[in-house]
Amino acid sequence: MAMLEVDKVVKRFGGLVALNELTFEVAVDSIHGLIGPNGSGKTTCFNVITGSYRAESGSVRLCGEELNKLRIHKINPKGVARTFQHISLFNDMTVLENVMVGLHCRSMTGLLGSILKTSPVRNEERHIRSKAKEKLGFVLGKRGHVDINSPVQNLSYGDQRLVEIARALASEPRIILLDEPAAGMNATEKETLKRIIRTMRDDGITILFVEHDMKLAMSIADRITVLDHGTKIAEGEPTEIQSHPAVMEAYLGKRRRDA
Amino acid sequence: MFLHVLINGLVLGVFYALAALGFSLIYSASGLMTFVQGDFFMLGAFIAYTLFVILKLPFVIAFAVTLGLLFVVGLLTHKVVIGPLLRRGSGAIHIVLATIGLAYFFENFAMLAWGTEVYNFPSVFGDEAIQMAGLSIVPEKLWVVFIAVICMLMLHFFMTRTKMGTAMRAASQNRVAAGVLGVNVPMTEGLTWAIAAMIAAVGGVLLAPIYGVYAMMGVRISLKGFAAAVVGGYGNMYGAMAGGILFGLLETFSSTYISSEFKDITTFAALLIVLFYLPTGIFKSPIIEQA
Amino acid sequence: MADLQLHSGQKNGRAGRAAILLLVVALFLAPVVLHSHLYVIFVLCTIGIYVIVNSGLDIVYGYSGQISIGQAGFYAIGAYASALLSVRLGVPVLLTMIAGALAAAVVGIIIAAPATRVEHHFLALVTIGFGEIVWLVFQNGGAFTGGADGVVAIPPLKLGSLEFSGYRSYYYVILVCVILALMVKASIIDSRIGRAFMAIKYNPQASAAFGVDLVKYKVTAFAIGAFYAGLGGALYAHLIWFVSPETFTLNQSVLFLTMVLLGGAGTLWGPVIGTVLLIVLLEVLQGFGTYQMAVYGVIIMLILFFMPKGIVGGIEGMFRKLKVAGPV
Repeated sequence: MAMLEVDKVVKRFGGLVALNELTFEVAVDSIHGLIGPNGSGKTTCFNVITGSYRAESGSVRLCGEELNKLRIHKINPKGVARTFQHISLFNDMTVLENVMVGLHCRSMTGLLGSILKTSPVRNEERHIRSKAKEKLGFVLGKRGHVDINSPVQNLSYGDQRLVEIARALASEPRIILLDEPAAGMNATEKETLKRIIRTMRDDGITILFVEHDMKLAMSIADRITVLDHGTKIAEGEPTEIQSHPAVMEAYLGKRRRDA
Repeated sequence: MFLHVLINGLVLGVFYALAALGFSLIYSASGLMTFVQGDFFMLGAFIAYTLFVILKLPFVIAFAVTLGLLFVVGLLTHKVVIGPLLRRGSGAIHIVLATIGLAYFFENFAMLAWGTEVYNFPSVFGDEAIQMAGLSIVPEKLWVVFIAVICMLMLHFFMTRTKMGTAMRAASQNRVAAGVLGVNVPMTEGLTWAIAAMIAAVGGVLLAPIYGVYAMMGVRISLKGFAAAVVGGYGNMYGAMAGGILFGLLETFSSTYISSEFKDITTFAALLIVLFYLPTGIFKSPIIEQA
Repeated sequence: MADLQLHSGQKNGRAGRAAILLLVVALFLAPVVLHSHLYVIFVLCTIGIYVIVNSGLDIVYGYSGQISIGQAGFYAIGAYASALLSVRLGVPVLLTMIAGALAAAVVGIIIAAPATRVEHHFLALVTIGFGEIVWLVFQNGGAFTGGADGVVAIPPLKLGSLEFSGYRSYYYVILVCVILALMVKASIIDSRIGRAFMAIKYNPQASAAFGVDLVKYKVTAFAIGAFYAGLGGALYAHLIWFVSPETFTLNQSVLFLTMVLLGGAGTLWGPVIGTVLLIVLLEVLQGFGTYQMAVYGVIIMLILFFMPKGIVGGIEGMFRKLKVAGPV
């Protein structure tokens, strides 16, 4: 069974068809890329998967279980985590606190527990804190210059993107959706990113990513799905996609139009 | 009887509509809530009182000067308080509180300048009921509705047919784009506040003969006008006017046929119902996110 | 929140804890030291009550980011519920106080559930509308609520044989409540729930993406804020033994919010500092006579101009600048 199945999903905004019976599968433990020109529906697809948008028809399934009828906050506990196209961290909260929020659905202290701070509650808090530190250590590596107790907006852009990944990892997902994870990164940061993605996959997490950086996408993906105007126009391994005529046409436009 | 209630409802409604209009203008121009409109009503009424009753100037002159002065007050409010706060990156809540602070200031100012009594503003158009088409109607009330409607029409004309009005509407829809196209956006915002204050002045002058003039007269208006604007559709000028009239009718009818004590509860309950189920207002206006 | 000094006390360590202990001791000794200054003790009582109400409001606004200009409504519900139950039905005051706080919390939940659907200006308007309706209900409640005349002869708190009918003794009751209220708040903000509140404030979309049920937490925050306000109201009713609608107006809600903003929203001590400063200010303003309101209005605007993040926020900002500028 595939980890994630997007099955004939249709999403409309008024008269505009953003996703046109989109169908594709993401295999377990794979790194799957979703590419396409601007406006092709990539982020829309992510938003449908994570419940921010309700599809008009079709279904999204995680290991066979339907996701599309669930409310947004019920998706993460099922094992789907994401990062955002525009950095969506919690500014003014510390780096560590940001990642601790990622563990929200893997913890259960309620209002009463928060007030009484009994032993199990304190243990859970310690556990949340150490898990968050662990994930931060993983994405930020051995570099000691990031103060995890400083406000998260003080970090460099590239580091903030990595913190977003740490937050997603903290929720112990089965699949992570990365929305343009390399945007705004320099070459070194991109190498770090590639390493992180591969390590996550090796640790048993499926990755679905959207990317504009073709080189990066081709170099890490096991499989790529190409969208144009909400429709799937190609799918396959990176080498197949690179020379696919429909893909080139979508990105470069029909030759006749240039004349 | 019914007709009298209807007319009273329309009169009240027209005031709320003028109040709502002011709120609506400011919201569409800058996405801000304001609590000082009612006090502009009050200042308008007091200034007109001073000119017309104390200095015995002709009504038309008193009216025109009042409008002019309130125009300046509105402009200054934006220039001195609102603009600088916005430039400091204040959020919506800070602006709301600032306008509340301003309201306190103006109310105290009025009490110091004019005193704490209720002043009688003589009727301009005749407050003796006359017979018209077999019914007895007070001319003052009809004139009030008439003048208010004229003002709303003039505003509509200004906003849709003049260059400045169009520039203001453009700036309210998209500040950046309008700015790029040469619209002086801070100036149009200031102008919006000035016009809103002027509209409030119209309402205040018209309100004075019917309800009297006193320092705290603006407080209820602020709240109700604001509520009417939201009920009608906050960013929508015409919705605001319709909301105001609806509120006036609702209040007058529930005061007459239910009980005068519960008229306010009816209107606020209506407000809450609308907010919960129709947050964009009855006439569907876009909700402007504070940038 | 990266509340360096005043949040969870991590950075504080010993110095901070010692300071707090000193403060608590001083507060316990105050009525003894100020023995003959009954009015000062009364003012301290009102400060304590407001600190409770404002701490609750801060959880709603400062932590979960929901604008509420209707806190006076919950304050009124707590006050009236406790007053009416004790006066009309003779229920012991301790129970009526708890009932008042719970009643306010229940109403908070009822109002909050649909209120979570709206944001910013609309939420502000909903809370204002709510406050107005509460005021109207008590004003027009006829013989039951006492109407404009209110409820009189409210009995003082009695615990066993102890009757707290004097300001000096009641002061200790309020002090204990304030300490408990602040401890509970400190506990909440440094917990999974507190983080959820702040996540909602800073980025509702992202928080939902990580499993935070927005409606549930927004309602919870509202309920906590309402409970605190209701408790404050009940304490108030048995302080001055009289409640009437004119105490519970929009102006009161504005005052609460101003105190929170002045001191610094979203911090433990901000509402405390803001309350103390503003109440002292209001006492000073009495001397201004007819200029009171104007000065108050100008001060509100000055606060918004120069200290939009409040005093605590301003201090934190300075620390943050120093921290970033220093060696990293």
